[in-house]
Amino acid sequence: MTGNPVEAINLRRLFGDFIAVDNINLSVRQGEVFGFLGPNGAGKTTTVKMLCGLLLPSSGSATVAGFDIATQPDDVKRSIGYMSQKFSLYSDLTVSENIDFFGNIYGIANSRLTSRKREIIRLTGLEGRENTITSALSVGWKQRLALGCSVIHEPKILFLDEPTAGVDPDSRRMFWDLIYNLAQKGMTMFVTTHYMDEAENCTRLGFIYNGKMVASGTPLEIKRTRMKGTIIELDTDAPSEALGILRDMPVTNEVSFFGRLIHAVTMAAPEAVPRTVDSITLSLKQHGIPVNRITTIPPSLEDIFISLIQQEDSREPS
Amino acid sequence: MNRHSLLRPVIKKEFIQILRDPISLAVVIMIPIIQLLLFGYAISFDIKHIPMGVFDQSHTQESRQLIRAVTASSYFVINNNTGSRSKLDALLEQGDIKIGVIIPPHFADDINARTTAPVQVLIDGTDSNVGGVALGYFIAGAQGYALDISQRVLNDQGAAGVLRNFPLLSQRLRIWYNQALRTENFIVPGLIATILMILGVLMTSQSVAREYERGTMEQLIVSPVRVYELIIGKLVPYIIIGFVQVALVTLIAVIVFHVPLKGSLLLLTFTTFLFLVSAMGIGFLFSAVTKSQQVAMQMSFVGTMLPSLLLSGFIYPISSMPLPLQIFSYIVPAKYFLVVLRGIFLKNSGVSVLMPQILIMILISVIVLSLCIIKTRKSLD
Repeated sequence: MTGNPVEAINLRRLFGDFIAVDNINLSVRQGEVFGFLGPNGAGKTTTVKMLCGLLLPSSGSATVAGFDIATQPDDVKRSIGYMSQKFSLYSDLTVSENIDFFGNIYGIANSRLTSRKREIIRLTGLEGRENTITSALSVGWKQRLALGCSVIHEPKILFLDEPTAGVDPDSRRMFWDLIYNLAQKGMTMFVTTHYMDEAENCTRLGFIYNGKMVASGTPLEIKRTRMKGTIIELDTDAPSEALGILRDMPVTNEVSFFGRLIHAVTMAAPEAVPRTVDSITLSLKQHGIPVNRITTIPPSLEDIFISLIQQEDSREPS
Repeated sequence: MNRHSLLRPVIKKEFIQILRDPISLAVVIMIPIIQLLLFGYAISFDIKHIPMGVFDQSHTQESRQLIRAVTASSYFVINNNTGSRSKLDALLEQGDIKIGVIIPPHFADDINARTTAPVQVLIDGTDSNVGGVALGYFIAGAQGYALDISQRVLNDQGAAGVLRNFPLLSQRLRIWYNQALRTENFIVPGLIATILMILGVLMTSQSVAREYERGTMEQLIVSPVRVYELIIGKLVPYIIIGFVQVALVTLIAVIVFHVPLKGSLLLLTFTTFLFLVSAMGIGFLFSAVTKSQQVAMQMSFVGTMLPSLLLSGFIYPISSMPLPLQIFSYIVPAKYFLVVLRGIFLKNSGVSVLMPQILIMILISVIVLSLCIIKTRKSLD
């Protein structure tokens, strides 16, 4: 057994003939924020349910907090926290009653619960709202309270299933501050998300598609190893004309708008990229198109995952 | 590993939620009372005061005696607006009278001539039940009148003694358990079982389906709470509410409807408990299957209202149902509780008499709760 909080080996789950999760290998290290990415139906939730001891794997094995998910589900349940997309709280209970209830069902003694409750209230910033009925809280507050309730028993690992779906950007940022805060204290975070900006902030990532793990590593590793070509970003006052010109140039493969900007992918070798940039600039100036800024940029995770999905899909027929 | 029971926090949470919404709680407690009062007064199987029209063409003492003999009981009320045959027909057609009696002009002459005196009786057969009962009452009254005449004739001929030598059947009728044949005594226990069945299933199914809809069920299942603790914890508060309902409804049955409560309160409590467990277990099961408050509500109505009203023996005796329905009725818990309630209220039945019902309710509870556990475990797949 390794010391990693989550370790999955060839984890597989079938529903009838459908392979929801196909031989996934996963390891999450102590105190890291692991981002589990993938489109809807890729197998994210099925994997999380297996790791939480809610669903038995069809084959393969996994340990969570050192306990086998198939044979020790009760120990797994006691060691983990789980927060679903719905921020499952009792909306007709007060903040304090929700914390008490979740504390009680995790078997926290009343003497200890009082101090834990104070910590949770401070952590989530809910001071002064202890007796507010939960339904009266805004979505962002509810979500923080849900997070607080799911860590009431100080789990070693917290599973968060799409925790920020449908939450405004401000609340999302505050929520992620909380996640880092807990990770710094040594709690391991297992987060599923489809927000790429959130993925950038994870320690490590796993990308699942059609039940298979198609990429894993730190965001930087994934970008370095998985992106073919270089992205050139162009800022101009005449984007439509510039787009047409770039599309006609042989050095650029894919040209598309990216907001007000233009992204062009070049397959030129890294040392040849500056020359490509110069030739583009020259060509645009010859056409009388002003170039405010032209630069190479690192690829975003979104670019990479789209290309990974396309690679997977093209492999499919074989 | 040593493990504390997590039943208490679940029960406590459920109670806080119930008490947080006192209006709903009050409604839930008032509904059976209102329903019992409403149905208890409205439903009556006694057929009395059947409107009767008489077209009397004889206008004699004899014809009036016949009418008096028939209407001496309170089964018929006379509608006097029957001056002609066509009027009588019209009343019958409009439904203003259910039975029309036409006495021919020569009625008294026939009686006095001691020949057969024909009387025509028209009955509205659209409501076959009322029609049949009206016919029966009329025949009984008319025969009583005929017997009186025979007696008088024999007396006139100085042969009264002849009658005494006829072997006459003497019926010593005695009605047990419900001496006055009061419908209330029959209806009210049945209503209690039906109302509680519907409400019990409805209350629990709503509460459990809400947990599924809001995602809290998922949260509970990931927690160390065992499935059986979850089920029992959710049922206990509603069983307590159920007991409050039963207590109030029983009080109304006794005080308002004067239904005698002859049997043991302890036995009533015990059997009520079994009934509530099975009914609320069914409610839990419905929502574990549907996971939606709305669908669970519809299922509760269709799945309990109709079977409890129609297949429990509340209105229609099960023995007169076709065999497939009789078999289906075996899984309706209200059927057994109905027998138990009628037994305890009216007959002072004891444990030994009610043992089959008690055992079946235990069996249903065990099966239903096991299904709840299985279904809840699987419910997150």
